[in-house]
Amino acid sequence: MKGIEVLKRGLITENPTFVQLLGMCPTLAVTTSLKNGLGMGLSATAVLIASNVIISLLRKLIPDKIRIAAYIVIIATAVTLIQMILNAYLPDLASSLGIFIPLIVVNCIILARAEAFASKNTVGKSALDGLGMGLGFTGALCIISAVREILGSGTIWNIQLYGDVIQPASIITLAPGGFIVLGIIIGVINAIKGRHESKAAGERG
Amino acid sequence: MINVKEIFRVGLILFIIAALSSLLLAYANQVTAPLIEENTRKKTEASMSVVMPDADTFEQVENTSDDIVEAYVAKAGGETVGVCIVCEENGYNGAVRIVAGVDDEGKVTGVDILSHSETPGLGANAEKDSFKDQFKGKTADIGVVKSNAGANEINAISGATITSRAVTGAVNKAISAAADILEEVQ
Repeated sequence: MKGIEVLKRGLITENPTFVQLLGMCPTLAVTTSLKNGLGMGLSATAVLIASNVIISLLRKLIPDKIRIAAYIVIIATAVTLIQMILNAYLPDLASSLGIFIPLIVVNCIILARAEAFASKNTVGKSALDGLGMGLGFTGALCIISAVREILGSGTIWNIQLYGDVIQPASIITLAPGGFIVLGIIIGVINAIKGRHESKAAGERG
Repeated sequence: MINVKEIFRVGLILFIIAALSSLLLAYANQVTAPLIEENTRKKTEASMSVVMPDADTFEQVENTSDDIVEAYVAKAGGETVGVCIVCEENGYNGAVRIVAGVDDEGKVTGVDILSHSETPGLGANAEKDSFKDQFKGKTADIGVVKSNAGANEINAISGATITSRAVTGAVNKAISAAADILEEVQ
């Protein structure tokens, strides 16, 4: 498999949020505004690349039977380290990322990529896979959070769009709105995909 | 049949991974803990100047009750103008730590959120000035309502009643602690 394909898989064809439906908990929780979506996406990407590289380096040393336990220890250590370093040296960034950093530990995309990819592939490819999946996750979060922020708060990136004339639908920023928006976006994506596939089939036949 | 040797080998490897991770974390903690404490102290000081703009120095005093974390007497030109109280109350996802300024008449001069782990977009909106500024000028036993706040009440953040109650509870604790401290100082 070529590097560019590894990247494309994470970004589009096997997008962690819209296709694999991984990491739903942080996805639904933080996508209430575009700023949050981007912050969560980028910090998860950084951890994903780091954990993929470490696990790929250690893949021959970790016995099969305890791999999951070992991955969890490694991921949790990496996240805690990043949090300590940010708090000590970049306090402003740490306070704006806030709860996102500890939330990354429970993001199952990271464990899923460790298990499905980094444990079987070379370091370079694993880093690329982390980058692709991370950016795919970030992109998906940005789409969902932009829709939710515009409809639910009447703002985008904290800039007021409307609100004096039409009352924004605050249900969209609450938990049910997360499910509704995610469901509709996945439905639209599947409809587009279905059309593409039937067209491709028609051309062949 | 269970291979005892294999179990020990696997267990030992997991032990080594966990031990190395804890060593690394312990070392990192030792290096970063003083820096983090320094940052927290700086942040508290910066927040105190925001909630008590009249004061120029803050002197830490002994806690009068277990309800609060830290207490500072705020002075302007050597004269006591009020008290700043750092205290915590449990919110939706854990402790919400605030600093509240209370003047010598028991009125709140300002409130700032020092740390919290509330839901981004909902409870985290407690950081916004539109919420925090509601506390200015309020006195003991502030109430929380969903809308149309009365004289000594504040409007809750929509979708985050628990966080709003936590911040208000902490401010109320700060007001009563401030009264005790002012009595002692004067």
